[in-house]
Amino acid sequence: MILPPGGFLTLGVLLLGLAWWGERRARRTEARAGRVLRPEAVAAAGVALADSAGATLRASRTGEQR
Amino acid sequence: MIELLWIFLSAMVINNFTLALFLGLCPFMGVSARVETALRMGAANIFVLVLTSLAVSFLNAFVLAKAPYLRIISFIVVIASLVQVVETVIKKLSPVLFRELGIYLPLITTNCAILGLAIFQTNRDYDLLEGLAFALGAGCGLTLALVLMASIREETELAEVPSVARGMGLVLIIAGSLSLAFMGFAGLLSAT
Repeated sequence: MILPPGGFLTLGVLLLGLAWWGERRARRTEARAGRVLRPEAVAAAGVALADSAGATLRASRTGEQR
Repeated sequence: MIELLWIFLSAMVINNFTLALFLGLCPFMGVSARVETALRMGAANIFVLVLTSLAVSFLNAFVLAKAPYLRIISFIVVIASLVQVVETVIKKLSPVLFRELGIYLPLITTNCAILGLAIFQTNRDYDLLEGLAFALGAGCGLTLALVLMASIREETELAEVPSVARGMGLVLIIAGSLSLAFMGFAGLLSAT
């Protein structure tokens, strides 16, 4: 009886291959999303940076006046 | 007596229902995550198999000799009724086990190992005692396969397995390896 081990192993290898392919695809999508910056993300980061720079500047000026 | 022992051994290891004949794969994949649950599932299967074997012997002697065309239908009715009995008994005696076995307990009805046993027993013309030995062997073989698989799966939970291999793929590879190992028993009867 050759069928059972062969059947189990073939199905197992197929599932492992599918899982590997799915994971590779997910990793690629993540990498692509990280490389290409979205405009709204850039805008949000710019606003936050400007806010923090403005706050620092204001704090330093207030210190000078005192 | 020796004949009964050989029937038992043959059904248990040489022609193991799960690992050599591809029967009863549903509980083998579904209830093999924990050894304790696997043992209890095996016990429920042994109980149903033995009762089925008894019922099939009586059916073959008194009903199917006169109406052979009722074979499959009568087997299915008998198996479904027996599983209902087992389900009710387990629900009453051990509600925890009933919850642990979940959907796999009523699924014993559709377990091809049970119907396979009924058909093999009829085709091979086993009498009552031979049928009982065959059912016990088949049940013990099913339990053995379940427990082996459950113990290996418990070990793999603690081992460092690549994320890709976590899941059914690994389970099937393990089942294939177990099946290959059981093929080694194939020469047991001819060697002695």
